[in-house]
Amino acid sequence: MKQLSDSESTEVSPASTGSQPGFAAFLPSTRLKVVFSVLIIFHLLAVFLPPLAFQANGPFGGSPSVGTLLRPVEGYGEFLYLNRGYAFFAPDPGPSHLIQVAVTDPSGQVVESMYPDLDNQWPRLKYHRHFMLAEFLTDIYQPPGPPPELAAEDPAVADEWTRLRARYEHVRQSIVDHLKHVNDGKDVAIRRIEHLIPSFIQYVEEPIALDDPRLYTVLLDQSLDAPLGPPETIPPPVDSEQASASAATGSESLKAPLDDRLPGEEADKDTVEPAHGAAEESSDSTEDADATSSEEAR
Amino acid sequence: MNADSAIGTAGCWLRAVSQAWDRFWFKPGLPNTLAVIRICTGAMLLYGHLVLATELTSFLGDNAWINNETARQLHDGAFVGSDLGRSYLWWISSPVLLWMHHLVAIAVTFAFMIGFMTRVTAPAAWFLQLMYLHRLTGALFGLDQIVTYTAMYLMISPCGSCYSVDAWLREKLASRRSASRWLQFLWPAYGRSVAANVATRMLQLHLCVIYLFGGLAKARGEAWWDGTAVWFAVGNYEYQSLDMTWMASYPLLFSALTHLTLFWEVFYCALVWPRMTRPIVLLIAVAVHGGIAMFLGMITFGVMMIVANMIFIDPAWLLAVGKRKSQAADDEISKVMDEALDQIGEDDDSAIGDDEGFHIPDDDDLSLHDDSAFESHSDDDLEVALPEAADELRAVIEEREQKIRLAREKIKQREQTLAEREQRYRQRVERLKAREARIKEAVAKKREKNES
Repeated sequence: MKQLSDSESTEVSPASTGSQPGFAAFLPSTRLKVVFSVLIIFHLLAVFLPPLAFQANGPFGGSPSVGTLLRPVEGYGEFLYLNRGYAFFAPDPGPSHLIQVAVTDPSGQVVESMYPDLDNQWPRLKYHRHFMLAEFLTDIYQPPGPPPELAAEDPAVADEWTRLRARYEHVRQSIVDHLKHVNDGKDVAIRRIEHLIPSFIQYVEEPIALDDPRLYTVLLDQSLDAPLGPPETIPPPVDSEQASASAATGSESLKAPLDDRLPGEEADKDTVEPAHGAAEESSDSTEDADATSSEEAR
Repeated sequence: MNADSAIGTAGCWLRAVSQAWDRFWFKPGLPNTLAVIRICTGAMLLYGHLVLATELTSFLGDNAWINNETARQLHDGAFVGSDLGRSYLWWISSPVLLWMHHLVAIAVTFAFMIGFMTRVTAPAAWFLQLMYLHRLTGALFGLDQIVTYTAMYLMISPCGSCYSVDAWLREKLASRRSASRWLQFLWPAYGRSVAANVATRMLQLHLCVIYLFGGLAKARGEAWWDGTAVWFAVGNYEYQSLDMTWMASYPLLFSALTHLTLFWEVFYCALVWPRMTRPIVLLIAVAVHGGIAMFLGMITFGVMMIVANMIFIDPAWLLAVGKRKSQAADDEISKVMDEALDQIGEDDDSAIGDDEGFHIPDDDDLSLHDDSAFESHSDDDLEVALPEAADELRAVIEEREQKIRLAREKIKQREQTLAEREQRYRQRVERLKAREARIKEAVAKKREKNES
């Protein structure tokens, strides 16, 4: 590649720009400057307002003034991927969320794995993509529902609940389908795991490995009015080779297929037999949602 | 203050604002910093595409983690509000097509990185990246944002006019380029331009917005105020790439880092503009993002944020550094040349010493010796004896030739400009002479009239 010579670097003058074609030669007239200024302001609004709208949210919804300002630039920002909040490690750096997978072959042997997994996803960027998928599943989680009383009191909120639940179920189903596809059609079950971080005081008092089993808890998929059980911890993550070895020996901890329901609760076929029933339910919900959104659009 | 003076003051203020706006956005700028950022952004985009290629059908198509239908539904209003984050990749199921598309994306991004057909490949690389983003919903993070924004602003600038294949082609095919407007557009001349300045300003302001809201979002949390946020970041097993848990014993350290990070992010948008505080702000940016890259497992994100922060580096500074390096290289090359000549001289001396010493050669010996002595001055022998020196000498000569060619082109342009200017002066002189003659004539007539 060509390096600039000294003469180029020091002798760039307005006169030389005048002879340049295309953008470089472009010295806009006052009228064009006005046009460009309007475009620049429009773009800057599309840059500034989405993160502002992201922050300007509360229990009663978004700020009406910010929402009004955002509306004209919203679509433009969405297409250009400007509709971000930039809340990196915010408001507080919290625990990670993982996906634990159990693959059961026809003989009943179960192999567990965890996503993300540094041993199986390399380079780091690929690992991070899997990590973000696991975080996404928890981000969009919506408990089953809505409660019947909410549907009676506020149908709009209940409808939104239904849609958010359908979104979660569709994404979960897509993940299960993918895992089935890469595991030659074997039964697949997944559950969400939260990996807690000890406080520095706890850590100093009792140094604990960051992957200690006590720091992993299962996030249950249950309605809000379900009885709360004690937090369930899980065995530490195992790599696929170890899992295969323990599966071959019929390790006790791996016998039960995974799901994300209460301990002791009967496993629902939706999750273990992945969710064709649930998918159908979800599809129905989606169709409803489609119809509603079309009406809103109209 | 009466109404007129108030209006006058307001008018003055508006004029000042207008002039400041004009200077900020429409003052032509150099593309050097943008060109460096283009190389880094292109490399990062390319790396992202190559990593995606290792599991392409796990992220795209009907059997992906998020399959085509679900990805589409996440945007088209099936669940929550519809948005315009659309992608044609939602509709591509065939693995063959996906692979062909991906190979095109890799080729385009590589061309963008090396600055080949940048006018075309820059928008193409950005658009392809955007389509991937809208398809990969759920698997994205900060890297995808910053690399896409950087590509977006580079696209509107002449970032391929230097440090690029385009610049090389522009020099090699100068005569063909001068005859074709398309080629002039494709291989823009190096120089100051409004487009370079607008792209620079856009990315600078966008970075300010990112840090401002990054900081404000953190300010809503408790951990960023009680000083424990950095501990919870380094104590996160999934992010961790180097074990930094020893920090638990040094609360003073991690709490100070927490507060520094928060205040730096919030005030970045103000402190990055004054010349006095800019180096400090940028150094902290390197430290914070370097830390994220090394300790929190996000090498790509950390590096890309440092690259984006380079937008605040004045191109003139880059050029000055380049000039110093160039001077240093010249000095080094001169030294190598001297050494090479000394070596040759020593060979000659030793040959002479042999001749003058104890051995009286016969004709054959002499001719052979003469030949070898002669050959020791040739390029081939120099290459064998000092291959690196020969390479460097050749590089120097090529560089000098390029410089001379450039200078010649510049002199030609300058000559043309001067010729045009001279022509205009001559015409003006002619007009002035004619006018002077008319005045003289009029004065003479008047004098005659007065005398008569």
